[in-house]
Amino acid sequence: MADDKLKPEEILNVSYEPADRDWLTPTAVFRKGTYSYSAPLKHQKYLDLPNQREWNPADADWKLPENWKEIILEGMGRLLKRHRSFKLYLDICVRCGACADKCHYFLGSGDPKNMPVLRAELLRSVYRRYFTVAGKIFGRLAGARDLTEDVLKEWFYYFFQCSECRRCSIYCPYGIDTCEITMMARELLNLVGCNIQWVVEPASNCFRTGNHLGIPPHAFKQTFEFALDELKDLTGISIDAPINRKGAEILFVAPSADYFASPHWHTFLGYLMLFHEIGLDYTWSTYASEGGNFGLFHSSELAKRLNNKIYAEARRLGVKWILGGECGHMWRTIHQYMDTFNGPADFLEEPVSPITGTKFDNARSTKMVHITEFTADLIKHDKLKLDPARNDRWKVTFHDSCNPARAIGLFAEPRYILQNVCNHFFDMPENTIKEKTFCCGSGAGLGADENMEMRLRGGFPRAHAVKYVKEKHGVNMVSCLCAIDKASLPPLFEYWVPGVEVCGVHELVGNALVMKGETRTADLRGEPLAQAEEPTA
Amino acid sequence: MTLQELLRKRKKAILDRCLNLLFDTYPHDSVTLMKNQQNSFANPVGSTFRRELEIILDGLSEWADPGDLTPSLDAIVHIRAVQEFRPSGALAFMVHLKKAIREELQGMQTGPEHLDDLARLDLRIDELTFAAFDLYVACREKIAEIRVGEARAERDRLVRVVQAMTRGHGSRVTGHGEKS
Repeated sequence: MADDKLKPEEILNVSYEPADRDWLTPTAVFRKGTYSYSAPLKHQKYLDLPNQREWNPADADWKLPENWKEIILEGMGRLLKRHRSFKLYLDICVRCGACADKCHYFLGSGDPKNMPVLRAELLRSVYRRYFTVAGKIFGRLAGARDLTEDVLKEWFYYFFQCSECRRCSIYCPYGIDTCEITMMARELLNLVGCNIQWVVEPASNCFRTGNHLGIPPHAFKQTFEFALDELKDLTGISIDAPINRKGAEILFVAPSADYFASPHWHTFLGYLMLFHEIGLDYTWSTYASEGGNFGLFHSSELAKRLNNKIYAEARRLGVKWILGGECGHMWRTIHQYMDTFNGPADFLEEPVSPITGTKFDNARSTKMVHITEFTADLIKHDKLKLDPARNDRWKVTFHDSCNPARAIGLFAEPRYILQNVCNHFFDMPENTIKEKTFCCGSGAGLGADENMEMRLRGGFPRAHAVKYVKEKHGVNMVSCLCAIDKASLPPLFEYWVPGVEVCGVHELVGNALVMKGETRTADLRGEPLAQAEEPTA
Repeated sequence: MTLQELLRKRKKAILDRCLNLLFDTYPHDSVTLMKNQQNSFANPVGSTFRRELEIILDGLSEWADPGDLTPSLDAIVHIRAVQEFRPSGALAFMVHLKKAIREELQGMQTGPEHLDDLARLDLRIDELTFAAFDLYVACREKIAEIRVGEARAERDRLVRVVQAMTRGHGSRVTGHGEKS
């Protein structure tokens, strides 16, 4: 382990100004709190990853294979041929700087290598050196640099400081998706066995048990029984939650955190209540018990293998279409990559709501509908009895989770739902929401506790906007649509904006939902309902 | 002219000097944004520094109670405590505050009649520096506390998994992580 303690002669060596270095000089310093641990050996083995070993990013020796440089350069050549977008993105950037101040990590840290343009240059400089004539001839003068071990370490440091949120991409006049440059950099790092625990372990667990928490099927079933017992206590209603039921009309897939983590759990209860109330013909699955695709943060091959599980299960169960829960990167995988990974899903039908008859044309190809599209449609057709006063203890704002916002443009539906299930809803400032939303700072595998300082830096722009609505409107609840948000926003707010809580949209739906035959006195967190209605007979 | 009047008169120049010294602790390429972007949400760090330092300077020139200035101090320290600084570097802006005031008042008509007030001002800044130190430590403790909280949440999740796998053996944990 690297020792962060200062030596006696260093203590008085105080300088308040940063060293001015040429950006081509690698500068990564692995200080505790600012990097993620490496992937555990057993999970490297499970996924059969290259260069399996125990290693530590803070150590001088990364135990790289002898020919690591050849492996990386060969890999880069292969990716350049395979992904035309990658080559295009490396070639066409004119360094206009439009993206420079859009990254939450840059805004929170002040580290220029977190400017998306400069982060991409870390990779682009090596591309120039080995794949362009100008770079081969003019070297540093052309912004090219040799691939050295320090450069590789710098890649690891900064490409695991990009949460692949794609905020920078919407400002690029050329449409460069810097997130995809990060994805390519991570693919290259994988080739020599450099990846992090919070990416590899969940991906490995998904293969082993169907979900990233590693929950086996019988435990999955039991947790449903816990939830149904809790709902019986809360509502007086016996609810059924079908699992692995062949012939159901719809397969429902949610992130596994929904049924084991907090505050996700309340969203899970909200789903169960809603599906019961409308009498949905659906099923959960133990095999496809994870919406989140942690392969996406690793390599396109791994993302494809994990994505395939959902479709294989839909085929096995014989459902007509798929409904997806409050997940983040599941939706980017579905909308941006699924069709070329495993699609088109011709064996499924174009989704039609069995309750309203609405045809979801937007899901014609993937056959997968987002739950807020589904629920908003139910509300629009007046199919739900809602009492928004039951959420009156909350003054709510909505954090557009990066992937549902920027990958599928889901802005109106969640807001429409929230405005129907709450009486007090306030949006954050326009340049911090919708397609310009700020990341939670913990996406793409960066949500590990050992990376907390970096997460707090990256999450500051989001927290800053939340603080504004808290001070202006008294907001005390941030609703969102992503399991990673639900896990990472509470600690973020604990540091930056104490007194603000986090929930899913369907927790608030569950609170407001007036169910037939219910006897309710408490909300899904067990607190007294703000306004209990007379139970309906 | 009293020291208070001098400080009021030169407030903007002192503030700019303080901000420049503060921004100079960041890499050169990052400073342009921090200095120039006026939209608070596009420049949360720079805008926070500008707003809160102005409040601190106002408070100092009006001999405000140091306690009234700690929220502003805290907002700055919160940011610096998670950035790439050693503790001394994170709190250097307090030393710079003194430096900026001294440099700005140089050449102005200050004389022996201001010495008492200058000493009082130094003492006030020293008090705030100690407060900043306490706030910094509180931030670092909070980070450690949050990490422990995450480890506890992870443990709760594992307990739930184990209980789900062995239902009927032991008490149940609800979604709130509380035993029932």
